[in-house]
Amino acid sequence: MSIRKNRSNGERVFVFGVYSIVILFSLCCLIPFWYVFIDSFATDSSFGVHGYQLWPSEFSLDAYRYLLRGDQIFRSYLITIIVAAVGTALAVLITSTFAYVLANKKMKYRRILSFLTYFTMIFGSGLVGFYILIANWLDLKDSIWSLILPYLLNPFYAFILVSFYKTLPAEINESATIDGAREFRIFFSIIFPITVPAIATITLFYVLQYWNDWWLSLLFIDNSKLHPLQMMIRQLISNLNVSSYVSGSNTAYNVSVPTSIIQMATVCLTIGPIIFAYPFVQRYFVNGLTVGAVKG
Amino acid sequence: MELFRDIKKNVDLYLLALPGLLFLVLFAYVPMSGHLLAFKQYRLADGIWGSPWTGLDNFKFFFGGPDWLKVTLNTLFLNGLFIVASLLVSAVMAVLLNEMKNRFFKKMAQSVIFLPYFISWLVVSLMVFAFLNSEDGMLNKAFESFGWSPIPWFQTKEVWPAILTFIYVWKFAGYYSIIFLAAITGISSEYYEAAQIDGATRFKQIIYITLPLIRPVAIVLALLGVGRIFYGDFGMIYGIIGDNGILFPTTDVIDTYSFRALRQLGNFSMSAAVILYQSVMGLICILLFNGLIRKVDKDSSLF
Amino acid sequence: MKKMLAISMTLLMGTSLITGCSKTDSRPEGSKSAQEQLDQVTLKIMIPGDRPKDFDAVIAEAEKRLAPTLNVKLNVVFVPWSDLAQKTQVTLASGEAVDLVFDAPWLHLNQMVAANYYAPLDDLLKQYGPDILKARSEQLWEANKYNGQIMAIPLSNAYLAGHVYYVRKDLREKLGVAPIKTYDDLIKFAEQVKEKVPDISPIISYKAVTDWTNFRTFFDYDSHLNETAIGVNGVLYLKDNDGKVHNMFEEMDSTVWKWITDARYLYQNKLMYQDVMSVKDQMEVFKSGKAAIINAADFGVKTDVANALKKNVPGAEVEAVTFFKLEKEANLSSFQAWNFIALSQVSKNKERAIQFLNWTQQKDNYDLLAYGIKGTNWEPIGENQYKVLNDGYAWFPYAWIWNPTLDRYDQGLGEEAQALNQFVADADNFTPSKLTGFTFDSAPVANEIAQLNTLRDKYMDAIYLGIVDPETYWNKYKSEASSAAKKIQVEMQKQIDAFLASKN
Repeated sequence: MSIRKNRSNGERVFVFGVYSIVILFSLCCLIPFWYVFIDSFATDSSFGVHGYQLWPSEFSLDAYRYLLRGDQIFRSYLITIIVAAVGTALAVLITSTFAYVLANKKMKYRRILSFLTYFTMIFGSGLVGFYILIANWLDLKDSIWSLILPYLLNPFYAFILVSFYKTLPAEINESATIDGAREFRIFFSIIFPITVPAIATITLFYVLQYWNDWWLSLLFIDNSKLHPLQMMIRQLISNLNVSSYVSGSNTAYNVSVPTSIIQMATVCLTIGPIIFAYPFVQRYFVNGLTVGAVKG
Repeated sequence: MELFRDIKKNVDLYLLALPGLLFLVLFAYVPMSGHLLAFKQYRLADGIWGSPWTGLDNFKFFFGGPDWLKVTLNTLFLNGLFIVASLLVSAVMAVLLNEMKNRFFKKMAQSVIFLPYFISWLVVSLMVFAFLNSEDGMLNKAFESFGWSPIPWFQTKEVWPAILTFIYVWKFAGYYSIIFLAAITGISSEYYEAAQIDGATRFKQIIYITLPLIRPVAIVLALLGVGRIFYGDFGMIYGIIGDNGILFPTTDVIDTYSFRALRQLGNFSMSAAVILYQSVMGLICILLFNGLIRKVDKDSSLF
Repeated sequence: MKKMLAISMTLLMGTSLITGCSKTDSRPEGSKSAQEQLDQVTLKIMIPGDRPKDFDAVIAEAEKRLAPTLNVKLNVVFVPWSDLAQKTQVTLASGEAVDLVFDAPWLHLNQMVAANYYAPLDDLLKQYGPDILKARSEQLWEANKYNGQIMAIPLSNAYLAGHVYYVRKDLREKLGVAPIKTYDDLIKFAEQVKEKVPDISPIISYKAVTDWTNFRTFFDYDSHLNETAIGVNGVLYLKDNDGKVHNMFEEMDSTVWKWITDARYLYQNKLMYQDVMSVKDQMEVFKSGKAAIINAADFGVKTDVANALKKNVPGAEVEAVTFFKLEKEANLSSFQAWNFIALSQVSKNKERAIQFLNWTQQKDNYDLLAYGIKGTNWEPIGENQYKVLNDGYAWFPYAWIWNPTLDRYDQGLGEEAQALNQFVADADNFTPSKLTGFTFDSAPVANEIAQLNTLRDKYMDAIYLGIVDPETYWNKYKSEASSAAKKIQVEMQKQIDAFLASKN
């Protein structure tokens, strides 16, 4: 009896420790974010005078009014969503099959292939060469594909998947092979389902990669009607500091643009949809799958 | 020949890898010849092949200056701190999150620690300033209320590696912990059940089951980081430190250094030279580390 | 780690592949038949900034006016300021068909000219651009040539950038300080502020993104200290219009040293905002009422600064104090413009592009493109002032059409600023610098410039803002940078001597 009691005491300390560390770290993350969120609704002058406040002295929607002017924002959201959806679907397909091959022991040249893949992570492509490839050779200027194709295989994510595939017991593959199943079937009907947590993880990463990207659209999309969200916002806030680039300008902005709070509203605007999509992906790696059950 | 035989044998595998291979060739290897520019003086009319060779001239601005070794060491040191600290914290957070039995709480905490990832470096830098400045910074105000004398953080170079590491961990711990969580959920529950029957405490289960099983993932993440250890996080360092020269001795990295050196020169070839330096050093690093890991734990190495 | 491309992103530029220029590519026929009049042509124009809300309406109006004569359609691509260097560089380097491009000495104009990205304009201007030529003074054209050729059209509305100190007028009056006339007055006011209004910083020094100016360097009439062609570095100066490059490491100028020691005094006595080097935007600090004095570019008080301050601190007022000498020939000018528009070498509509720019240099058309639709976006006040009616058309003539002749001033600036602006817009008011028209070929010392730039960023601001001990840090700067500085000085002097010899 006494042993059990001891253990549950230790258990209690343990649980207390776990919760307090997590709560502490969460607060470290939550409070700054709360500042960003709530102060994006402050007036520029209240932010200017008082700085970050847990509850701003004065509220306004100025920042959002500035960012949401015109109807481009809706087009931009649509383009971002299309790019993220199509891009992620293709990218996950390509990356997961590629990673499966890299992890497959039957593959004789997998070490060389892995090295060649990793090599591209260190030796990036040069900017001008990359630009000429997309704009001149593939002729993708002002095309939505220029936002999708260059990110289809991220070696970083591929190697994360490889490390997951490597932890799978080899018997799964072997038994399937003995059954005479082709690799396509082994991958799609056996491997893919049992690695859902890992797939969900890189799916999320690809969504974020496409969602947060402004770089490709800066280079390849000159038509402002086709700008995705991040590019549109980058363009909007670029003008905020214009007077600091151009001297002798006598810039005649009567309206003082609410610079700082716009930066924060930008964070909130771009994060919004991701936050709503997050729980759908989250359940795969928080709840987990009982891999053991599938394994049997 | 042997390759063809292997292709014939594993034709399905090669087919599965084909889209990825095509991608790498087209989008990574074809434009890679741009590295040649490091040894050339780029002229538009002549293109990259036609531009004249200049030997090692483009490297001179970097290696001829007094600071190249310092910024190289800074890059290594800071990135080393970032890799170690962020992996450690995110692994611990993932393990702790996994130990939380309260579903709602667990999900909330998991979402919350992911939030900093979305805060742009620009906003982060505004916050860092609001927190640390010596006029009305929150931290110094708190110091004053305790009766301590305020610290001029932005004039104190020694503290910045720690501050930057803290910020990096804060921003990316949530991101990396997702990878670890995915790894943990992949662990068969049979292991834990068996351990419970043996009477292992939850702490012991973590030490003997969870941690060893997420080790391969940690090694892969570390190796992925090592290859890029010569690349500084430009957005972060330049965003937070900016042009505050007083802090350069501890925070200036290769990327910010060459950015400042070249921002008014606009010279393709000189920047190509620095990138080549970073790439080659990264390659050497990763070959060393990968070889080391192969000796110790063959399955965890990258290639 | 997230992006494959992060590498190329982190540096301003990157590398290139194969032939960058593809001049021989097949392209739709264009300008050949320009004289036969009017096959429609679309000009691609790349300029910095953000697309204003009413831009489409303005362009529609412009195209309507252009249709019967030039038949030009306009495809204006706006590039965010922060990405300007990269985007324009990569576009040009790839040989993509773009017609007009914004460039500037502080961006990469000299390098781009040297690399033959831009078409020489002398003949084109003579034939198609009489109004472009007319709208700018002889001095402006002469001063902004490259090896005797016009390589880009200078955009400028003044021959000297105005500089002022914004001073909190309400505080000054509250403290009973008389209007400020000299630097000593300014510091006395700052000391009063420190003593009697302890919760705000007396002075904050403003530093724009593209320059490294400091609180003191603007108003010097005795030694005429000026920056050299490679920009600010705190070491190499031009002095007394003597055609020499002066190296402060070898011979410290007493004025320069006084700037430094004065700054040290301000910093140590906490007259200067202590974190001035780390604050992201010093003007924001001033706008929120946390500082009483700040240096600023341009004459007069900018409307947005005055409005913001008034909103943040009820009763606050700003006045612009300048020590500028409104005296003919008291000021030196090299007539160097800061912004340019260039014609791309690969453009297939060269004639039409210049014809279009010529069209913009006619009063009505200039007004349209500079200020928007009359009556909706703005209204004229007399010949050379204007009043903004709404914020639908943000102002950006400096990016493509600016000139000192047709430019209007914001009527909110007040009369004093107006007079100053008109003064600096007249080239004849200035003593021409000996080096007018000199362009420095930085290629032979590119390595040294790159090195000096990094050391400049490491030391100069801290020294010139008084944050560190002047002696020690100057010596550190000197020991690390003097060999690079010396090489640049020698090379520049060599080129200047050759230039002066050829002029005589």
